[in-house]
Amino acid sequence: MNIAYIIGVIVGVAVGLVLAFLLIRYSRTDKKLKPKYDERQELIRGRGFKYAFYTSLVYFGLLTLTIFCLTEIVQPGVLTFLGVCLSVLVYAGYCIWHEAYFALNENPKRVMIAFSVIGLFNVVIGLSNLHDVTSLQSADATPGLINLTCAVLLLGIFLILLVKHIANRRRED
Amino acid sequence: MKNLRLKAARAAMDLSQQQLAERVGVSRQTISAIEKGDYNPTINLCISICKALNKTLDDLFWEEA
Repeated sequence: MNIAYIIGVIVGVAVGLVLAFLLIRYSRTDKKLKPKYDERQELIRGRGFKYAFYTSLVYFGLLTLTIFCLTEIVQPGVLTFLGVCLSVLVYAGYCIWHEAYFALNENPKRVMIAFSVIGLFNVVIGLSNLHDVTSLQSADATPGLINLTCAVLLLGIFLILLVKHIANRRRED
Repeated sequence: MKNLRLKAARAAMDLSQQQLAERVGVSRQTISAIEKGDYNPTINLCISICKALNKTLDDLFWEEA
């Protein structure tokens, strides 16, 4: 791993953190952008966080026991990111299924379009990163696999939203 | 247990679940869950619903023994 790659990663993470900080700060101070949830939604979201936490506990517990075998297949970074994505999927899935994922002042269509765009973006970047990689175990494969994992997470959330939407329509009929 | 009195009071005012939800400041699904008996609202929300429907807490939420 050369020095330019390491500097690139550090700069990328720093820029990402600054952007996330500015976005969160801006959205928290602007009343229109600040997500508003009612009391039932807050309760469900709290339970969702709890189940996501349990998921990460189980996943990382199992990972600790099996990491010696699994690192022969992929890099530890990918396995760690997979655990984070799994927890997020549990949280999002639980909230979506109990109608507490979207805030009262949020447009679900806009969020779904954003998810689709970010998902496709990750697929394209992930596949292009894996283009010249010979083995999934190599360190070069890590960025591409992380992008693809992220794309699978977004696809999973999208599918849960779709199934819930169909279930709601059937119930209304 | 289903809250049929809430549903009846809402229907009497010719309000949809969405309209009542907007008046009270919650999601439509929350009103639906209360009517179906899937969610027990806090006292603050009960009061808001009562005010929106011009009813008392007894009218909508008190269960007779």
